[in-house]
Amino acid sequence: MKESMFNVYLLDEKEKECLVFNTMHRSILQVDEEIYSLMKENRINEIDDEVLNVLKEGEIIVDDDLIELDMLKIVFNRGKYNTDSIGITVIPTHLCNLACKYCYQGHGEVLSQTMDEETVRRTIEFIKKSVEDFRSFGVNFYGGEAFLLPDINFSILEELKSFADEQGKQMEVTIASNGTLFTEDIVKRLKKYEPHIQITLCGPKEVHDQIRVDKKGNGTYERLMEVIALFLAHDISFIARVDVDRNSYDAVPELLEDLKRRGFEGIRLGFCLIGKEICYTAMELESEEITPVELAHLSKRAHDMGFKTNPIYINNFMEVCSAVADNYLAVDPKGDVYKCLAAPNYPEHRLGTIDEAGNLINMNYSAYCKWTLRDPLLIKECVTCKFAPICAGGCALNAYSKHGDINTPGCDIGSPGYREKDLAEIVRTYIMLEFPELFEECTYESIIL
Amino acid sequence: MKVSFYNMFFPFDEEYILYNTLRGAIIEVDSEIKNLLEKNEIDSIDEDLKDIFVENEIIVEDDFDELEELNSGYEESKYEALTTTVHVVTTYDCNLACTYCHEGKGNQETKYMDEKNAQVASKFIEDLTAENFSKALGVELFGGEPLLNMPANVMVAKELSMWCEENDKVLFLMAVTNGTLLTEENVEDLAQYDCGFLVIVDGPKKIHDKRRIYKNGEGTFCDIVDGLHRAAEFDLETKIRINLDKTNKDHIVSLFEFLKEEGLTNVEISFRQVFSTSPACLANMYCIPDIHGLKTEHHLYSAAQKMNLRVEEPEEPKPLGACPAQKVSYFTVDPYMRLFKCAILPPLEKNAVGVITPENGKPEFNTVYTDFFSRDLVSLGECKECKVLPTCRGGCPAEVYEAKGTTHSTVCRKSQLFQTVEETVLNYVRTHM
Repeated sequence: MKESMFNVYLLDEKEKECLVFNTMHRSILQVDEEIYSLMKENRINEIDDEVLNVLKEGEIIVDDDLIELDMLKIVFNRGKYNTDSIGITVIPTHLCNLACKYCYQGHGEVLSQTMDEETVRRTIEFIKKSVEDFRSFGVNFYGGEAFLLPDINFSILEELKSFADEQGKQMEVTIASNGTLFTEDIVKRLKKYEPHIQITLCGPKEVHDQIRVDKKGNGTYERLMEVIALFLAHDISFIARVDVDRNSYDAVPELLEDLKRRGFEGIRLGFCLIGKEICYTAMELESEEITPVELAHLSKRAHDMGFKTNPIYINNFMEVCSAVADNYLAVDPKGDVYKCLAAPNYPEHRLGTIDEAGNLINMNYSAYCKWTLRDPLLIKECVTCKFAPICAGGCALNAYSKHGDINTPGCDIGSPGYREKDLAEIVRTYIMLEFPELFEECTYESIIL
Repeated sequence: MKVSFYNMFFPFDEEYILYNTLRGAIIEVDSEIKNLLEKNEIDSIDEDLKDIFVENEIIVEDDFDELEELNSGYEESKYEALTTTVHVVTTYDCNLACTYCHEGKGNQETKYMDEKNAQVASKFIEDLTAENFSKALGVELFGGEPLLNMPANVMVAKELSMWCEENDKVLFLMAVTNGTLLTEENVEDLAQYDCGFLVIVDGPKKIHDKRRIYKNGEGTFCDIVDGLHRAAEFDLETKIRINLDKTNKDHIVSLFEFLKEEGLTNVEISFRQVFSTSPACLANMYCIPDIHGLKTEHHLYSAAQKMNLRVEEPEEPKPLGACPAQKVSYFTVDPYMRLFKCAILPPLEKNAVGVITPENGKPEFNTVYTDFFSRDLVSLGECKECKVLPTCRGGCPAEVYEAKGTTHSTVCRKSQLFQTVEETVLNYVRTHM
């Protein structure tokens, strides 16, 4: 037997306790100092049988001849080739009513098409054909601003809903929006599709209103507060994404206080980095990235104040990104199809286009294979990274923007200042939130990879 | 543009059949076009024809990595699971001593699956089917001779029928049997679950009775024919599998005549070759057949068709994706509750990929499982340079595992395979085009 290559150890030297977290199997075990030493000194045969069985069950200890990277490949591919459901993103328009200062799409002015009626029809046909072999399917609206032209969305939703009901398929609706255009009428009409909506904030009012502004430069914070109240009143499932950079980091607690003051305690928040990699044009905002660990700390802070969060997103990812899954496609306003919803500005990543009958034609198999076969186990930096099972190589489009090849890491691994060990702090935060009882007497400050 | 690496040309009626092993495209061309394609002189090809070649990916973009396409389709197929298929070995025991038995004539192992374990195995199969989101479940009762263990067969059939009914899955149940125990009682017990029978018959009586014999040396032919009639009375799907080799191949047509005389025309006939080169399975005709045997199969197929008998069609030439041994949708369960990735691999302990936990029917996998699953085509060294890789897939994983102790290697029968691909394609052209 041997210790798993994916174990992360958190030690409490004072209490002589240790937490072991396995990043591939997500198992967490508490062991004492003696067991920890036996594992690290490769004296596994001296571990008591009962304890050994528990360690084996959690895959903290594995068979000598197990090639764990092969196992990880199976784990990744199982997710990638899931045959139960398929997800399709529809981008009805590249246009947007806002002019956020860190927009990667250039405010809907670099790409600015909107779906015409014929493309909407083709897209619906394409979705119907694509979901044929699946029990369930997801439709995700993205933009530009996904709800700038709600009539398009409702015509797609209406037709797909009756198709799903006829075929006995489950349909799941998600929307990524800036949030500003949701009215009571739209929310009421959306309700029957049970959507899950993401809207975006980027700090407390004074920060947000400088950055997330409409075309005239007006802030959108108060409008979004109305929308959150509207979602809560109509029991709409949603997450408020909070984009953070070095300048806004210290102001986040103030946002949390304000949300709480307004009675929004308990809503789900997701903290994200503001990155520059995939920008269509130079970013207006002078922005410096914060670290993934700092994001996890924000999650912890929000959690302690009663918000729902999940800190274990490493480099913004958790397992395989849907863009590299076999069962995911994105349709842009021209009816062109991509693997990644953020890629329509890159013609080399276009898979093909939808014809009259809703078939994908002019297929670029090279692009299709490249995306579908993106495999963190072919990226040399990822093969030795303990966190590869969680981030799976990070964002493929980020990697492409940085290195011209999606088969490179989407994170900053290898660059000065990047410390793999820091990522364990995210794990520590995660365990702290999920299993607070483990931290009642211990702090587990030392991290051993 | 460039010419696909996977094009092969076979002479046919003074022209050539162009077959693309990666996509399965079949196109007739003359020698001039063949030469142009072989020399990669695409610009000299007439535009209309060029369009057809592009559409069928006989010609592809310059920067297109075809190996990536092959790999992508292969990996995807491992996880494709519209149907989950499981062989359930309800006993290793056998009442026969066939001369070519690869399982030691039921003498190496005689373990029976008890009813409790049959229930646990069913639970495992149900969970697997649900986890795979399969629409259908195919279960083959396997041995040894499975009809020696009717309590376990009935338990499996009953449990799975109920579960499939409740969960809206289509169940295909079949017992792979030597046919000697198709008694009224056994057939009736399984008929209520609409269980089909696949019976092995090796030729007319005089041939069959030399090969498929009871332990005391007596022939089994007459008992089998009685059994086939009994299954036909219950209107159950009944199939005959003929294991072909040199000694029986010239006598099969008289078996066809016999079946007609007996009125057994509704029985579906299929052929498999008895291998001398590979320990691998008799279950899949793609498992590296011998060229002479393949030609015999094709000849017998035509003969049976002409006699208006039901006969399984030779498989269409096409790329195959992963072998079931590498798919999430396939397992063999044995009486010890061990799991295998191919029906040829039991009973050897070293071949088991895991075991079913008796308490809850959950599988516990070992490193052999990881080895089988993680094998991929692109890491198979010299196979990357081979045109028949989409068909051969680096050799039968079970055979490779037997020979090398890991599936991450190859067993190469390239020259043989080039011939069998040609025969498969040309036979398809002759019969379908």
